[in-house]
Parts: sequence; structure tokens; C-alpha cells
Amino acid sequence: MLELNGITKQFGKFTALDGIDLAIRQGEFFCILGPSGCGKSTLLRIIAGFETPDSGSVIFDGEDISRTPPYKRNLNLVFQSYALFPHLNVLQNIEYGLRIKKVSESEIAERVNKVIKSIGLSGLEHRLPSQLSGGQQQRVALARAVVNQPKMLLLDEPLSSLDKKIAEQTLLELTDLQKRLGITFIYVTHNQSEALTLADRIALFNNGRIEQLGTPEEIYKRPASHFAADFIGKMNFLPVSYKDRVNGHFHLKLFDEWEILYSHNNLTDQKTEPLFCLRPESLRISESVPGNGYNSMPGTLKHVLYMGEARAFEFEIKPGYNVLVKYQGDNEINPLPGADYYIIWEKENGWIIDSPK
Amino acid sequence: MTPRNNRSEFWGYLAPPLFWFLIFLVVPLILIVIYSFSYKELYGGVTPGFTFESYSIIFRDVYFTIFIKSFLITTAATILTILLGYPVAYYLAFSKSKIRYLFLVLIVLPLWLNFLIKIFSFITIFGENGVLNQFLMALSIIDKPLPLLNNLWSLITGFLYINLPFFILPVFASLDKLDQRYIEASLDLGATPVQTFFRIILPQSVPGLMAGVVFTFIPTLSNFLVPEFLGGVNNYMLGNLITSQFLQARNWPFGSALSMILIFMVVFSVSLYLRYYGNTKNNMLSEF
Ligand SMILES: Nc1ncnc2c1ncn2[C@@H]1O[C@H](COP(=O)(O)OP(=O)(O)OP(=O)(O)O)[C@@H](O)[C@H]1O
Ligand SMILES: [Mg+2]
Repeated sequence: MLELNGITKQFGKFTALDGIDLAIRQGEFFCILGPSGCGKSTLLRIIAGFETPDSGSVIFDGEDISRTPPYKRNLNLVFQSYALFPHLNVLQNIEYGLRIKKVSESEIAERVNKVIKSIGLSGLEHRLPSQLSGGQQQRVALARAVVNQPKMLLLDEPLSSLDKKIAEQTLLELTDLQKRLGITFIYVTHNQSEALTLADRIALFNNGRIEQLGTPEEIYKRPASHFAADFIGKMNFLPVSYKDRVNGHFHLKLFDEWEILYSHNNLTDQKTEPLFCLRPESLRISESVPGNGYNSMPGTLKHVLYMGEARAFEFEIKPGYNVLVKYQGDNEINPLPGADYYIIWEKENGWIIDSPK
Repeated sequence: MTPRNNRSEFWGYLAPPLFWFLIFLVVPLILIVIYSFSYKELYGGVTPGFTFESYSIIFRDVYFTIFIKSFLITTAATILTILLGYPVAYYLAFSKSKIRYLFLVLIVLPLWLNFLIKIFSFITIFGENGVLNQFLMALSIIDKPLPLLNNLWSLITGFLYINLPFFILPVFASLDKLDQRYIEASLDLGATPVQTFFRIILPQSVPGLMAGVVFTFIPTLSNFLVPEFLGGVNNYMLGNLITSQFLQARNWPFGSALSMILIFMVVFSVSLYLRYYGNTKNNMLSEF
């Protein structure tokens, strides 16, 4: 439905976007995730038509719209800062797009009412934006875009200025809305948990390039690079070396000392300087060497971190190398700080990447 | 520092301006009120008393015509100021070019010039033997000087020349702080640039526009120098009428009554402005 081919954008000498290729599907909830300044907003502004790419093309529904002015594009942007018209009240803000398109009075009333109900703005119709809370303004901004029934909605960190509780609630409303209306969403955020919760697919951005493209699970479990592994969630990184290959399993050595088995086949191309990645929640603590199907390494428990819904245990494997183990909820184990244990994991759970350059 | 000390210091600072205010503003104002209800004396001055005679004179044909004409001329000048000034302010606010700052300086510059100098420079350019006529004659485009002075055209052009900076600046200020994202949001919702101008940009610059109108309409209505030097004999305005009542006709009560009406209109329009825009953050009068 939307295709981006080799989009490049420079501001003076600074390259904000460096050859972006993306294909977004009809009805998809697509997240663009990345740290501040990586070019997320710039890409949205190019899709919306407020910036023209230096090279590359934007294809929307099979039509090249790279040079089409914003008011002729059948998509709407929800701004990072809402940009509600300050001299118009909530109702007038929401109606704006429909009045411009000369939709009939009765249809305007009907569509606006429906949106106001479903987004929960009843009773606020005659307030000015300056008389609304942040969360309410955010919803008006959303309503103002949704009421036009665009084919595609671009959302630029719409929840960034809301507090956590309202943000989470709005998040759920948003997914619900998206599924109900069947609008394609491109959702920009630098908040990884938002992206993991909402998205059908995520494009992870870094320095104006796509670092990785995939489903939340792919990105979480099989990061393509050190940046991807580090940016999303918590990750333990351990030095690893290649030994040999037996029956489709790789034999590797952690710290040149403990032999482990590795069953993913992303090792065939002989990584030059590999790093072994382990998610804290995929690790378990054991007092003995585990049986078949598990890998293990010994470590000394240093700290126990209580986190409410979870507990984290920090182990020292070698001086300067700590590993985090995370248990959800309350559970039977009570390891003692200072004592030695085995850290174990199912052999499907490790993941190997290249060291950062 | 004790509060008492503080207070006396407060009044100490305030005394000179208060005194100034009293002598040069409040006292004359009171005098004008008194004069306007008094009887005139033959050679200037007034005989104390209470009469509406001076106010009723205004409705005599000669004077009333001047009154109406002043209004029409001022309105025409104001409308032209808006039509010419708004695009300039718009350009200054939205142009990305660096030259715009130069233009801004050029617009502010005349504000530092003496009023009379401005008028005489105007005469130098447009007079019978002025720069423009000589230039056109030298190029043989015309063979006798064009009558560019002492008519309605020169009067209104003169007002434009004087007023434009006062109008452009507040409008520029209100446009300049208009958030670019409102414009983008409007375009995003399908409005063309023209629709965006009338629905988003113009409404949000109304406070600046109104401030600009207040800054130009009132001074134009009461101005007597521009009609005197540029308007010729046929374009006598309210300002001239007032001056002549004090200086030539020696009818101080009538002059005072005319002044009262003018003052009343100033107070009325400024308070109207403050009522509508006074407590918004776009209030332009508070910035100048
Ligand atoms: N108009 C501009 N002129 C110059 N540089 C710009 C302009 N717009 C953006 N940039 C630069 O381009 C880079 C990307 O900006 P962008 O706004 O796309 O970042 P972002 O990923 O949206 O960040 P954030 O999460 O902070 O919103 C930034 O380094 C920014 O400084
Ligand atoms: Mg941004």
C-alpha cells in the first residue's frame, strides 16, 4: 500500500535519512522505532508531504506521490505536539477536514458524533484546546484525523507527553480503533515497549538507516545487530568462540572455557568476532549441572534486585562480566548472595551477533 | 530595608512621572472638558458657563461634511494600509530568505525620522519640480509636470507612507509567532494554501491586525500635518478643523468639543480592543 524506495534526505551536510526502503501493507500496524534524532519524524514528514526527499520515491496505492502537495494526499498525520487549532473549539477542530472537503451537513454531524463517542470526547465539544488536558488534546488530535477516514494514519509519538497510566490506556484504545476501522497505521515512537505491544511489524531505525525490519518477536528474539540487541529490552552479551559442528549443532565456547551447544543456523557465515546474547528472562538458576537440552555456565551471585512484579539476580561470571537473570513473580527459589550457582538455559534461547565495530 | 522605607522610595521614584502626567495630561484634559461646555470669547479664551452649543455646531453642514469626509478618507487610508501592509508582514513572517531582516530594518527605519522630515521628503519626490516629475520629463515620458501633490491621491499616499510601519509591525509579530505546525495540520487535513490562509492564518492574526488598525486609524483621523502639507485646499480634515479653532478661528470651546469627540473615539476603540484581545496572549498593544 505504501512503498518507500531509497528515500534520502539531507539537511545541509547532515544526512537525516540514508536510503530507506520499506513496503507497508494494507491494514498493518507498522511501528517505526528508534532513538531520538534518528530520522523518524523526518520520514513521516516526507510521507505526509511536508518535506521532499532528496532522492527516492514514495509510492502510495501504486501512485508516485513524492511531489504531491500534502493536501492532495489521502492520509493524515497526528502531530507529535497535536497542533490543534487554538482559535477553534473541539467540535470545529474535528470537523475541519470534512468542512474543507464539503461533506454534507448531515454526514458531518453523523461522522463527528460517532468519532466523538468512540474516542470518548463527549461533553468537551465546545471547549477550546487551551481548556483541555494533555490526554484530551491527544484524543482530539486523533479524532480530527480519524474522522476523515483516511487510508493511512501517521502517528508521531502521540503518547509521548502523556503520563504512563493514560498512555497505556490510550495505547489499548488505539489498537482497538485501528482494528475496528481497518486503517493502516504508521506509528513512530522511541519507546520500545509501545512498539512491541502494538506493532504487526517494526522497523528499527538508527542514524537514518533501517537497522532491522521484522515482527516484534523476530526483533526481540533474533536481533540483527548489536544495536538492535541493545536497544530493545535487556540483553546479556558474552564473548564466544567457534569450535566445530556436530549433527547440525554448533559447538561453541563461552569465555574460551565453557562449551555450549547452539542450534540456530545464523552461524554458517562464520562471524568474525561473535557475541553471545542471552535475555535475562530466558535464564534460570540451578545448583547442579543441568541435563540434556540445556546449556550452563557457573557464576557467583552478587545482588538481588526486587522489582515488584519480578526479581533480578546479578551474577559475576568473570571479573568485569556480569549476567542478569530475571524471574517473573514470586517463586520457590531463594539463592544466597555470595554463593556459586549454575546459570542454565535451553539451547534454543541463545543468539549470536557480530560485535559492534 | 523596612517596608516604610520601601514605600517612600516607591513614591520617590513615582513622583516625577506622576507630576509630569498630572501637568501635561490630566490638567489639559480637564481644561478641555471645561472649555467644551463654556462660551467662547471673541479673541480666544473662554467665558465660564455651561452650554452644549459647541457640540451642536458640529452638526452644521460645513463642519459635518468635514467630519464625514475625514472619516471616509481615514477609512480609505486604513483599508489601503491593510491591503498593502498585510502581504508585506506575511512575507516578512514566512519568507525563509535572509533578506527579510534587511526589509524589516528598512520598515522600522522611518519610525526614527521626524514627522516633518518625512513629509518634506515626500514633497521633494512628488512635488511639481520633484524628483519623480523631473525624471519622467527627462525621459520625455511626459511634457509637463504631473499634479502629484495637493490632492486626494497625495493625501492618502502620504498617510500610507506614514502608517505602514505602524501597521506592519504588529501584524508581523502576530504572524511570526504563529506555529508552523498549525499550517501543516491544515494542509494535512486537505485544505489548500488559500483555504489555510483564510481559515487558520488570518483568524490567528486578527489581534495583530486590530492593533495595527488602532495604531493607524486614530492617528490618521486626528492628523493635521499630512492634510496641511499634502492634501491641498480641498481636503481639510478633522485635525485641521481643531487646530484652526484654536489658532485662527479662536473658538476654543468648539475646538475643545471636537477634541472631546476624538478622545472619546480613541478611548472607545482602545477599550473595545482590550475587551476582545486584552487578555489573550496575542494581545499586541501590550507588546508595543
Ligand atoms: N529542518 C531541519 N533542519 C536541519 N536539521 C533537521 C531538520 N529537521 C530535522 N533535522 C535533523 O535531522 C535529524 C532527525 O530528525 P527527526 O526529527 O527526524 O528525529 P526523530 O527521530 O523524530 O527524533 P525524536 O525522537 O527526538 O523526535 C535530527 O538530528 C535533526 O536535528
Ligand atoms: Mg520526532
